[in-house]
Amino acid sequence: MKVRKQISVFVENKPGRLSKVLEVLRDGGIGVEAFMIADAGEFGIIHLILSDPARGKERLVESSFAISESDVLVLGSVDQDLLLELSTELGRSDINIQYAYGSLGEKDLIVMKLSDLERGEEIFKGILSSRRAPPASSE
Amino acid sequence: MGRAKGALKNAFWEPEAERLSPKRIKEVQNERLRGLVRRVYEGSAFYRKLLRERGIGPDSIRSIEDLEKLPFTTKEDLRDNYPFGLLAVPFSKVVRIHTSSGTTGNPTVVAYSRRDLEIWANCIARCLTMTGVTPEDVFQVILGYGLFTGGLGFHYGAELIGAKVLPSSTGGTKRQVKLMKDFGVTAFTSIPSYALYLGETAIEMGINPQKDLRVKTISCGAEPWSEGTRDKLEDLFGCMVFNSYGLSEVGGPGVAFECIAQDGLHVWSDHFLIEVIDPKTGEALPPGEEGELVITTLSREAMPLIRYRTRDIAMILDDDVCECGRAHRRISWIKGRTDDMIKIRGVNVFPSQIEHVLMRMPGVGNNYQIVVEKKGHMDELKVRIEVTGDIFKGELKDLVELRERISSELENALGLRLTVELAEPGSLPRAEGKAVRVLDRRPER
Repeated sequence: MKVRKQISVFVENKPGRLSKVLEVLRDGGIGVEAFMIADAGEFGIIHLILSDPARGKERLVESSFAISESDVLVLGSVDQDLLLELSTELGRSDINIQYAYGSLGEKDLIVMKLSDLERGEEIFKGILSSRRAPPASSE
Repeated sequence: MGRAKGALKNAFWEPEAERLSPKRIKEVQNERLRGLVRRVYEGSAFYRKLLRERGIGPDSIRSIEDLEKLPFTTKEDLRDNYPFGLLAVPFSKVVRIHTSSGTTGNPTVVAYSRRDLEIWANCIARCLTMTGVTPEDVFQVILGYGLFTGGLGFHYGAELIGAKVLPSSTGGTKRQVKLMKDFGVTAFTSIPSYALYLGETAIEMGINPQKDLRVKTISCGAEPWSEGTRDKLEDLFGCMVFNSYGLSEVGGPGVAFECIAQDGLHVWSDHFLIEVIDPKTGEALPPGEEGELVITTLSREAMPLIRYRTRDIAMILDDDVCECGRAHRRISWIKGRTDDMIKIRGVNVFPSQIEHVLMRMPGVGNNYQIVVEKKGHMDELKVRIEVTGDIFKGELKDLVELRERISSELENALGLRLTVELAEPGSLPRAEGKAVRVLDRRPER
């Protein structure tokens, strides 16, 4: 368990914005360990836990994103029982969870709500199968 | 504020002309209007024909009370008589030619005699002296040089005063800021959106405009802006900012300027006669009523204009003598242009009204765009505003609240329902030149 810097990025809620943010981070060699997209209609916020938050922030500002940082609690290997216990205790102590993200157990899950679920699923399947298949020969 | 207001109360460039009493101003205007009609009758084929058609002879106009008998001159008249059809002197008397930016068709041409240039420079010198510029100042002219009247107009006026003129023109923002700092610039003029950009750029460069620069007085004009932007600029640079008004057709900047009272702009009434009319009917409106500004050039030789319809919307203020000691007629800030006015669900909206609200809200950036669309039969007004690092604190609810606050303030000011959209920084067109503020996507009617 650690207190870490979360970087939050303001984005317009339109296709391609997450990829733009991820691209900037990849080009800067900065790892994304966790993320969440929160939305309020036509705009939203991407919350990020980064391998190097200071440099990540720098890169994003250079690419003219509006960003802010805050301290958050990051927990590892949480199961359902632990989460129940933790949230109960926080509740008893009158501490509000403003938001939280992550997945439980050993599986890393990413949950996405898409504007077109069927087509999104197909695209995703396509990418996965091309990753599993041996590299296509270029002849 | 950089300069003591008191010292500026006695700052006159041409004390005699600037301190004319209301009665004397009227006498000068009567005399010059009679002279003007005679001059155009003699020298301008265009006006001779126009006046004859109305049965007006060279001596029919006795005083400014007769003004309404005279015909209007419009931008179309200038275009139709391109390039030199409105000259009232032999071509040999012309010593300078400017044009206004004609984005469609022919540009409009402005010609000057030697005396026109002298009067122009003196008008600018009056404006600058009135707002605190002296021979001690380093004056940066951050306006386009060339065919645009802004750069050269201010250049010669400031030089006439004896200020140290820095003709840095436009563009190269970081270099502009560097010059401002290195040369100890104490006064400058630019368009307002660019002045904001300069201030922001200075901060980005680690230069505090209030501490590291020595700017004491700023004048801005040549594009629609609002008092909210003025407040923002005054906070940014820590000095007074004055509104400048002019238009190339009547000779460029130096037609009207704010004084230390910052309560309307003095029109140099010995050289320019102003009226405000109802743009639809052409009828003159009394002080305090908003309408189209109409200007008659009383002194211009090469290309005088009679009752020129500026398309700018403003009103004449009450005509008491100003605290600065001048009785020259004051007009309000320009509210918009007759051609910028957008009609939304029957309500007239000017981009400057929206700007006014936004500039008064802390943390709201100066970059915005107004989008008008047709949804079914209804006009929809949308205002897009860039989110800056200053506003964004990482919480969705802050942004939602900000959006609500902006839209309720705008709805109050305009009396219209509208939606506000928050946009990513840098996603709206930037204002290096004149900003594109309005996107009207409604099909042409």
